[in-house]
Amino acid sequence: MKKNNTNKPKGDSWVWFTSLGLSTGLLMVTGILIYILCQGLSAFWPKDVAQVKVNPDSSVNINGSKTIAGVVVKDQIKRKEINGEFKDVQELQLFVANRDLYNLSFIYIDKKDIEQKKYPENLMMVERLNDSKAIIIPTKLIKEDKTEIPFEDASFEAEFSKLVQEAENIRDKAYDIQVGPISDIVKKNKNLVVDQYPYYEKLKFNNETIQYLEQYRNAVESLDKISIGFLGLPSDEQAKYPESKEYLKLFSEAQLKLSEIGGSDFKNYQEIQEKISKGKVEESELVKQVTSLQKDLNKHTLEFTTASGYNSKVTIGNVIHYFYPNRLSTGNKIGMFFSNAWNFLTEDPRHANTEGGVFPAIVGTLMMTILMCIFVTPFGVIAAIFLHEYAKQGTIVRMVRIAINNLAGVPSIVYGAFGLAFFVYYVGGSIDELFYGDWVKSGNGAMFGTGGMLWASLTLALLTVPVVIVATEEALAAVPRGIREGALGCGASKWQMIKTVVLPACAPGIITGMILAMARGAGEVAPLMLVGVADIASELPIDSAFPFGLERKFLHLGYNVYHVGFKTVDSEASQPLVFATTLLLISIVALLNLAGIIIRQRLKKRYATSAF
Amino acid sequence: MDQPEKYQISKWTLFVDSFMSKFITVGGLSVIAAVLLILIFIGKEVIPLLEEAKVSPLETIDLPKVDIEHVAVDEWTTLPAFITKNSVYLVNLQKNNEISSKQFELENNSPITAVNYDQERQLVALGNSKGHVSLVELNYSQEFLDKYENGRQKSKTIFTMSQKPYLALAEDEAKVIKIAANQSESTKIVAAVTEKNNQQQLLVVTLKQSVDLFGNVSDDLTVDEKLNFTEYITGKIQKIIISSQADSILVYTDKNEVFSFRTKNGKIGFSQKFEPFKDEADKEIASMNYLFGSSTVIFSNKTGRFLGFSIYKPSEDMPRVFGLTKTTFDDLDGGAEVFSRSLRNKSFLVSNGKRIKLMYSTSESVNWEDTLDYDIKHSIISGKYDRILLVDDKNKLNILKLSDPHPEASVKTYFSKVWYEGQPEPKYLWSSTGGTEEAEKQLSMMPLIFGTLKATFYAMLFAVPIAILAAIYTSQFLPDSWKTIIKPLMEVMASLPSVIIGFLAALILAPMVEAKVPSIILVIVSVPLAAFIMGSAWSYLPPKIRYKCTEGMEFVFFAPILILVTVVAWNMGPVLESWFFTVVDSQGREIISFSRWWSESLGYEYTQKNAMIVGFAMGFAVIPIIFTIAEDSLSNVPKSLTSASLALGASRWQTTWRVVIPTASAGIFSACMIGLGRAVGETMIVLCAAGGTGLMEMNIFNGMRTLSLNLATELPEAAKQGTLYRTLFFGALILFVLTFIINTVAEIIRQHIRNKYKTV
Repeated sequence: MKKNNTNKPKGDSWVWFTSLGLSTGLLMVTGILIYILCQGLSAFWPKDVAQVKVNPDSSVNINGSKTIAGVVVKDQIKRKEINGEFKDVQELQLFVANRDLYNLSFIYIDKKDIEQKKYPENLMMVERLNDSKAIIIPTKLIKEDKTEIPFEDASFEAEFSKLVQEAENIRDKAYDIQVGPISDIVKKNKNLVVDQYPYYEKLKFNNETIQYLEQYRNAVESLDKISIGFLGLPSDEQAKYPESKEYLKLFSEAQLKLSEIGGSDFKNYQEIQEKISKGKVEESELVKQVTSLQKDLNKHTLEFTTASGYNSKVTIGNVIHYFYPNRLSTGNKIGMFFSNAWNFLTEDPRHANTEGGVFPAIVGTLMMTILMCIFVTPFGVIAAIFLHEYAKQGTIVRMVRIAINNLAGVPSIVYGAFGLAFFVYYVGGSIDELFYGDWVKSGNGAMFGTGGMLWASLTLALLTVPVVIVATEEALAAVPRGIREGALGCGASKWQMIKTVVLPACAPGIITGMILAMARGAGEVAPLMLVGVADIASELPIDSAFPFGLERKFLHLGYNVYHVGFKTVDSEASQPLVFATTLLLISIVALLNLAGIIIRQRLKKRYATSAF
Repeated sequence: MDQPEKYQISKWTLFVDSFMSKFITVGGLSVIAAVLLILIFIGKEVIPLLEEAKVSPLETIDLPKVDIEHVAVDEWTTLPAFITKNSVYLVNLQKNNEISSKQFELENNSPITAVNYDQERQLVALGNSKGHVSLVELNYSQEFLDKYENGRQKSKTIFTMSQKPYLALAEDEAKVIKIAANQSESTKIVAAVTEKNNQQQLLVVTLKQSVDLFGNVSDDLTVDEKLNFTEYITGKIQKIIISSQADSILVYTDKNEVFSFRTKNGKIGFSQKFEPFKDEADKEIASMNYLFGSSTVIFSNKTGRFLGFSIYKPSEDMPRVFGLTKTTFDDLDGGAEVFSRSLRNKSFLVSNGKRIKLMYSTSESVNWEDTLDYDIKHSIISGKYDRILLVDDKNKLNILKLSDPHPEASVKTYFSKVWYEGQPEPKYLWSSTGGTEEAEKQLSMMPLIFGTLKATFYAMLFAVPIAILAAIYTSQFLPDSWKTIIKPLMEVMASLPSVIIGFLAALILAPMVEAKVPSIILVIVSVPLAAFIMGSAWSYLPPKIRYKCTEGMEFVFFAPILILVTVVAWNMGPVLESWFFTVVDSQGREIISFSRWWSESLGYEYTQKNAMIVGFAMGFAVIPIIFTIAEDSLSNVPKSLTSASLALGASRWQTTWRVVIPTASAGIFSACMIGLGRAVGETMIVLCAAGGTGLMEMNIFNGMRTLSLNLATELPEAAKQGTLYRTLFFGALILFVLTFIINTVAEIIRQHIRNKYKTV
């Protein structure tokens, strides 16, 4: 033995000890990544729904019923106090869905209490438009003409799927009207209100006009209450509302007086008012169309019962997706897995972000990151070129460099606070005052004086500008002196040298910096909470007309994780969704990072070989 | 320029070159300036906190020569009212200071002998010579007129008063000499001192307004209770005050004793007797007044010393009583002859003769003081805290403009222990809203700074050993081919969005760990131990096996053992728990539970979201940062040094320990500093996993509130440019400066090292 140890180097046990650090670190990283990957992907995997019958002595029940259907989420040992004694209990956690009926989403059952566990094929999983998921046993389909098709009937399946498909078409139609013509008219009317405001201001030159203007506006308002856009209606339509007479009298009185005093200003004011009223009539017509379409959605209903014996019904228009979890073959499941993933990526969120997809959040995150990149790159590169090529190297530049390096370490929330005070309140407030005074005063709320896409991306640009400066400077420093001198020797001016030789050589470095900045920006959440992220946003932060939706608040994947995970009522039930979002966000950030790292390594190799 | 044209540099090239030089210089400088401007701008948001209150005279108005007892004013300071024993005089500031008056109703022509006014509830109490009392409600409202001025509708303040019928308080028709009244939503309390044949009586009546099913309060008052508190009092009563919740009566006598009567279970009764200036040279009470919210009473004595008494529970099982809480107010020349309080905050205005001071109770500071050129007889602060009205001895009304946007702000509020209202002792507390309007704002920075440091401490405790060990191993022992994979992997770990780490920590790790603390302890102890034992044991294995593991691949061999040890230790946790962490409950049963042992045997709090979770999560977030920088500095140790050491026969560990680490120690230190800087400002992890209660305990099993968490949760709701908004920016400034200093130190060390290596 002793002989064997003679060639043992001293302190090898310490080497093992230091390997602990690396092993722990690597295991943690891979562990977390694998955990998120599994959890995130399993969110899309359709799971079997178990129907469990519990021992009558057990306290577990849903409103007295001992039969419970749900997806097994966890099968774990838990320490519980039973009659004053702590015992380890093998416990099942079931996701029972039907929160609207049961008022709970999960139920915990001691495994010993389970008398029977089966997977009935008639259980249906339904994703609803305005509610959480439901696990139901359909009983019958009641169509508009009161004909009933029982679940056992052979034609049920075909009929039901046809109606659901029909409903989806109607929903699409209604959605098209809402985002198309209706939103156009709303925007047009908004602009008209803004255009009208200056005339209103001009007309208020004496107390008399003010009084009549108020009368005019009040009359319009009251008439709008009787029927939207009343003044835009044809006169025979107007005659249908006798209660309007009184207001019409006030209106024409004010109109007469104002046209006497107001002259052309009032003429313009009046013209715009007419347009607004007409727009409102158009809008209300379209809204009527949408409501009638939505009425169509609720024509047919599905009656159902649940495993625990609740009888209820759901209108077909409320059913988004449905499937029979226990009837699926593995092939079906794989198909569903991909279609679920696709739905997750492309659908809008439903039910306060706890159901549905994350499409707007993806758009928000990408838009913000790209905008940030557009802001940060030129400024960062200019600053770096200045620091490295133009500034006189000395103590001051060294100090500036240290300061910039340090700014990369300043907490992001401080940048958020700065963004709120400077961009939102100071710059945004000033812009509103200067250009959107009419908009704000005519009761539309702040335009730029509140958090939004533009301010969020500018704040993040400021946050990431040190990253770009540092990366670009590194790349500039890596350009060999010989190349520069060669260029200058050929008679190039300084700028020509930089433009034609230095910048192309360090382009990969700049791109690396840009990508690293994007990776950092995409994952930052804290500053966004102050400068522009929203819990729920009705419109995407993109628009064809100025200001291109830049003033709007937006959804963000990272914030979605926080908001759905912590701030919603039933956050545990939406945990699969959060994991899926997490996986998506990590993939985006990791991809950006990897791209940056790979480009950097290639760059290093290139310069390692290009020795002059 | 004698050269032929074809050899000359084209003008365009020269122009572009000089333009780009200027453009880049200006652009670069402005980007750098913009980035550095952040500090200045944040500072700009904070500086107004330091501003002192500004008071400037606006106008002086002659008042009728009447005996003014009290002054009232509306919120907009348009219609001040002067209350005498007979009537209310109004001065209409909107209408050329027109004076009008309204008389109080009398009963059987008995003259009113005592009058009192409460500004908060706008309630006048009258007492007459026959022992009858009446309440008068003053009511200010605004009415919009049909007139416009600058496009704005003009408004007019309307004053109305409604007097309730007289009520016989003293059965013996004794004259009322002192009176006080106040009201809560449904209860009114009137307390009066009557005098007959030089005999004083303290009489109290509580009145109830009936509330119907719909919550409407009827106008009729019914007598709920009539009480006589004379028996408790010794000496002649000097003053009565009633709290604005109508649940507490305070009187003081010429014997300088204060008697407190409080409502308990719906009945008002004697609570406490105390002598405010017991320990002072001058024991004579000169004034006694409630502050806004009626939780604090300010006393002054004849030498101008001020003391604040607040109501609190001295210990959990005792009733709430008054106790001395504020002792460091500035002195006045004499007793507070005139006193008025703000209805917005804890400010109060005291004056004696010509001397006047505006003080703030929380910070016990003087916000404004002055010696005026008239004797002050009455004062009032307007409801919006923007005007001060003073009536002098010549019955002149002086209106002063008050601008004191941040009265709470002072070094003491931010950094010292403050004895807040309702607290049994001085504390560092943060609670910016306090629930009600009257609640005292608690704006101490200390719990936030402490929480930040606590979170950072636990994070570093977890991160530093792992990161540095990993860096040493990677730089010194790991083959280069592995390095190119592992370094990027660790960098990916650095880019993991912190919201994800926070989410996992709070929703997955915290519930998992909650009941498994002993397992965690075992893992933490056994894993390093296993590593060391494994290392020692390995060297005793025959070389055949040993050489299977090439140098630098130890971590691959160690990984399965690490997993094994962790799993075993994790499952041994409950065994450890049953050995050491048991408590006996009230029924004599033994309960095995670490959390109960922690809270019952050691007396510390145990919460699910605690510093340990934050430490793990934030440690995880900073490990890659420390690792990357430490690894860089370890790798950058000149090859010549290590080669020399190895050539002299030192083993690879000896070389690392004796040569590499000492050389790179400054770099490792700087890596830790940068990690520290990152942990200090981390927001999402603490937002998810720290709980957010601002405690000042180092206890690892409870939560904390950090500066960053505070900013993220409170800034979106803070009113723009208000005190809270600026205070939060002060927090941001602290955070900024803290991280800036930490990072600068680290950066300077790094640059220093870089220069040192250049010469080696």
